[in-house]
Amino acid sequence: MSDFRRSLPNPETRSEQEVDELLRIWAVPKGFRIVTAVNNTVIGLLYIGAAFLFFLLAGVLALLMRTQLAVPDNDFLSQDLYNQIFTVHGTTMMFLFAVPAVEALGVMLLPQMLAARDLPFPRLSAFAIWAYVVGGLVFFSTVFYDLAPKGGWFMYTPLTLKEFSPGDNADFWLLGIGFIEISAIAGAIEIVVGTLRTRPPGMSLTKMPIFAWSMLIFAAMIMFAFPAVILGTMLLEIERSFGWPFFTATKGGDPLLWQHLFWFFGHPEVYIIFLPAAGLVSMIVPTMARRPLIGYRLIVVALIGTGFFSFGLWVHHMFTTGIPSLSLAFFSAASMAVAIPSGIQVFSWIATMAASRGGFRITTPSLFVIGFLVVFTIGGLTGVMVALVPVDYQVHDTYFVVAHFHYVLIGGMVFPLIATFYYWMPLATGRLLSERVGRWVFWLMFGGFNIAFFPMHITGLRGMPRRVWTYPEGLGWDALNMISTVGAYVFAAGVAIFVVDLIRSHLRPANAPQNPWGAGTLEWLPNDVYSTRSIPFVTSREPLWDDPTLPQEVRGGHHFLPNAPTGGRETIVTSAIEAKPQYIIRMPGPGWEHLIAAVFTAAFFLLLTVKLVVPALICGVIAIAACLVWAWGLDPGPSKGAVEIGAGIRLPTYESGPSSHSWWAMVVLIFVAGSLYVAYVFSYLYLWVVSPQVWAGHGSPDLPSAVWPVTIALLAIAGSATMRAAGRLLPDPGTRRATPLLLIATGSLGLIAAVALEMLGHWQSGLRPTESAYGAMVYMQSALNGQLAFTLFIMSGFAIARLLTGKLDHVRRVSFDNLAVLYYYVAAQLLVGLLLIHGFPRVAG
Amino acid sequence: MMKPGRIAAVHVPLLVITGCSGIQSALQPEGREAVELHGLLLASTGFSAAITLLVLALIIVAMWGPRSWRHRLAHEWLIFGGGIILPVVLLTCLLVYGLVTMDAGASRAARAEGPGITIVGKRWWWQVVYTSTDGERVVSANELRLPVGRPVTLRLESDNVIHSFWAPKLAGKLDMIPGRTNTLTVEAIEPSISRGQCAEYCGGAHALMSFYVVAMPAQDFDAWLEAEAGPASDPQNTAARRGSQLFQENGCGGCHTIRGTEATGTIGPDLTHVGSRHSLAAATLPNDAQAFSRWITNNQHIKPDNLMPVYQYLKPEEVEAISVYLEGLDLGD
Amino acid sequence: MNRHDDFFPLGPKPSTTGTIFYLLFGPLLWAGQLTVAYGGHTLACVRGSSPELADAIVIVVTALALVALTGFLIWQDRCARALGQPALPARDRATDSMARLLVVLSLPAVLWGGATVGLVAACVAGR
Repeated sequence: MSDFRRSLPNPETRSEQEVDELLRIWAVPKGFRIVTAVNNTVIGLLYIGAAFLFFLLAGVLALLMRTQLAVPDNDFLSQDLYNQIFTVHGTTMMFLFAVPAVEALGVMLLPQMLAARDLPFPRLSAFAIWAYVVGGLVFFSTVFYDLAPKGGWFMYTPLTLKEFSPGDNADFWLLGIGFIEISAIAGAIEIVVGTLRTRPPGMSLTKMPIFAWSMLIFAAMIMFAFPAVILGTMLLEIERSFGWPFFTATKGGDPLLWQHLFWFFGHPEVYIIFLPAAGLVSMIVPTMARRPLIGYRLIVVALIGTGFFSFGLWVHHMFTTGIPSLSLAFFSAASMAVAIPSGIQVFSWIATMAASRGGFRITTPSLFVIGFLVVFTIGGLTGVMVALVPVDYQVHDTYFVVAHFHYVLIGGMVFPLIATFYYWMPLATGRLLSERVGRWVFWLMFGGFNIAFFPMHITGLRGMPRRVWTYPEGLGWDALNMISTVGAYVFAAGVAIFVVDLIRSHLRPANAPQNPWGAGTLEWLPNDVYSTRSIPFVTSREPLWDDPTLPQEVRGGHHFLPNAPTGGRETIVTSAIEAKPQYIIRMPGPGWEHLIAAVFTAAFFLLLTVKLVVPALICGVIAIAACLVWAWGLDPGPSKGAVEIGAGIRLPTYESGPSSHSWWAMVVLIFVAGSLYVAYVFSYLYLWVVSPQVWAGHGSPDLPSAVWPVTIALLAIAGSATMRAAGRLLPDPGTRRATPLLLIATGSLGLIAAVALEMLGHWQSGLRPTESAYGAMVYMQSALNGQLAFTLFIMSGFAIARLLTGKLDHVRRVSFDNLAVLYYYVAAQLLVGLLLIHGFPRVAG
Repeated sequence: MMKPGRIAAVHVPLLVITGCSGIQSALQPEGREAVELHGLLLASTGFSAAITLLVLALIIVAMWGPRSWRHRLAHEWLIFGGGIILPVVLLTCLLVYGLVTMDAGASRAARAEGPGITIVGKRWWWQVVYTSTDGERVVSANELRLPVGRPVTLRLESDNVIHSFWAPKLAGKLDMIPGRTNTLTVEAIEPSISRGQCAEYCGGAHALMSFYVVAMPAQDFDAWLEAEAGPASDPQNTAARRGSQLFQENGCGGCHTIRGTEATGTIGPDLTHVGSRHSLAAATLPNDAQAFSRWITNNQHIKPDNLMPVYQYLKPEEVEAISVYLEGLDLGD
Repeated sequence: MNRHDDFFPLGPKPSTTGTIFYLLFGPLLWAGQLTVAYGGHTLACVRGSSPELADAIVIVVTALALVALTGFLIWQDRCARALGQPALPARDRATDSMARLLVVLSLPAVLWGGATVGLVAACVAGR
């Protein structure tokens, strides 16, 4: 192994002009054009800044609530305002702060940690971030003009149906969630492809930094958890707007369906937030101990285990709904199982601390890490308590649970986040925060937190329910509530001092050392806008410790890709498992398109929420147009040929087919669509179990005759065949051919016809979506398919336009490949849907 | 800032009766289920405390302990032992204890006697329906009376949003979900008065949706139920008679029932024996004439969003007469 | 001079999909067990009104999962190669170890899930 280190990929001296060119290529736009920037360090800062702003805003709401609850029978806040405030506090903290904040850290840190020049889809991140910033601010502002939702962050039906929540308030919740759904999915695509395909050469999966592992699992969890809530919010908005009775018991719906969908997302969500934070801790602890993590593989195993087990817990939010005991018991057992991975991590960190060379260094980041360990342990243990079904009978929906999840979320996520600010600040801004002030910040936050939340365990056991705007005196809650309020203000003082120090640090010169903590991972290599000068060849988990000359080698351009051979933004794509270099990905730079798309997407949803349909549609069209213009510039084709990256390795600068990054992104998207569909199938079967009396042939008209599904199936199969043929008949570069064009058009129209026929068949049988939950479910299937068919229609038009302009041929074919793979998926989903809708009721009788 | 006497006044007298501040506390169980849950609660609290102390001790040793101790901790065995073997053993014990406790619910349910009681969650109060010995429906509100030592099935329902029935001293909570009937078997083990509250956020005045549980010796309960099943007592004095007349004239009977009179509404709580209950407006106000007056004229301030209109056009003496009438609707004891 | 092989020695490459399944073998089985147990017992209770059938489904699926997990531990090398991993000297030992630990972690989860039928009556709400 040691020979490698001496034989560098590019041993000869490199020209400094290469650095100038990198600087020019990766330059951040100046002035107001900075909004068009896509560099991960710039948009990552915007992302984390926005998320932190939401943390502060939702924190102010928390203080208002604590003020109201300080004394019994208080009317500092009115009932209605309090209900709005606790809803917005929860929603903002979970959706606008926690998930975006960890995702932002991924955007900020991953490329540096993987020594990639940027994430693989820079404009996609920027798009997601802008949509989130605009949408999030509008959502939050509703609290100022009495338009805020007041159904709780969990928005249980039927309280949130039109009958009990008239007005647009609940729709604003759905809107806020819509943005975070978009940005979370976009982020997941970015991070899955980023961690699997843009690692530095040699960094096999099992050498990947723990934070990257945790982000990979985070993204995978988003792929499978978010679709459930996406479906749930679609069903809720459709029931609110059009009266399809998914959740209305009198028409065969079930309020509990919402709880299943919401918590199938909502429980993993907690771990989606926690795992990256744990990943950050696993980076900080070894640095402060000055030695590698003890139990690296155990920690990876714990992360993966948590990722899985967290999907088997959702019913533990429903222990008091009257579900049969045995069902509850399964989920109680799974809740025990998820405790073990957390235990593994805690003991691994303790072992690493004990192994420290010369004592574990007490810095502000390590204080927050230790605070995290203590608080998170307590939160985890009370989690075990609430996972015991009978204990939950008593403590569910009380202040005990409020205490529990604040221990888990503030302990498990906010403390590591603050540690992260202190630890990685030099990377983002070149400045260190004050260690002296940091001590104050820590003790105020840690002390205030425990003063505020520990008493709540007792308050809850003494019978105080959650979500109450006031309470009578003399129930044994008065003193405890006052203590909690005092603690909340102490905690807030800590946060305020932190913010002041954050601002103050920017008045000082950016003179932090390159690797201030003496860490061992790649983000501490010499950095600039282009990330590292050359991309290191990695042979261990802590390259900077094992090879002290690495920073000089990298800066001198002696590793891979020390220049910009294609003259544009690019990075190395490596194989997913072993990280062998495969090709050079060419990436887009700054632009207006994604920004316009983001703003108008936001406008589309906002206007729709306030029922301004025509302006909304106009904005929607502009957003789609902007996306098309944006996509037009991608798929550059193989014009640049192969380039040398060092060690005599020549890599192609264009790749299509199953090893290309865009194909991987499409596969991730298909997984998302697939999980959404699985959630739909679950909902269909669930409602059938609850209300078989409204199914076809019972309370609803008989199914259309078998001719309908057979015709539809043939259309989908024939459509897939035309797509396949189109793929084979794509013209040679530089030539034109009409056949593929016609085939693509036929295929896409065939699919639309199939969806239309499916709806027509049910309509002529007399089935209406508003009459029963069964009808609503049947038409919902077509709504899901129709939305994909519409997407394919747009993508087909795009492919045809590229054919006509000679930008699509049998070599330069990524835009077609993406269309085709999605087409096959949609056709398959349609066929499965036919089996479900037309087959299942016939079999089940 | 403060609204004196809204709720406080309700249970200050009750505190005297019960003698402690834990009138709604799960830590002072007085019902069969609550007692069994309490055991598990204590065991799991002990487990949590012990593990917390262990982790704290290990952190301290890892940071400041003697070099030889630290050296011993710095190995993977710590992770296998503390992170896998220890939790598997302890969690198995806890899980088994938890599941056995949960399964005891099924045997409690099997022992239930009598016709049971139906409780319907309303916005934001509780309709309580007993069945008398001769099979009649006896409708009451915002108070649950139970015979000590007799397991009783509660059928929990809702015809609007989701509520959750929770009387912590009696049993754990169970949700009331539209379209379903959940059953909860409760058994009071000693005569007492305790308090319960809606635990599932149900919008608007969720915070002000409470009730009292009155557990009484079985024969007292039977006597009470017989009296409760009877019609309302007649107004005893001029003021009450005037109040009765005003009650009818102002259409109160459109929403409220007073058995034995023309008032047969079902939207609001049944008021047949309202004077005999421990509180008004789902444990929001004490039960006296003054509270009735405040409620009639100012209920939207006392309990915002509640579904009863405010009767501000009534003259003070009219309000007073109605209040006297309603306060007198007791069981004559 | 092509020094590619110095940095990336030629040899058998692990399959990408195979590695994912190899690594996730334990948790995937656990997920399968939970899905079948939860779905199966719900159907047995609601449609068949048969607690015995519900119990039987849970017991059978748990037994199958346990057999598969133990089988993996005993014949890990064979499983690895079936899932597109290179033969032993060339195989990444850390991947092996993680896959094994994930199976070990899934064992108690599967056992706990299955043990519920011995302790809790099926098809009743139990309050």
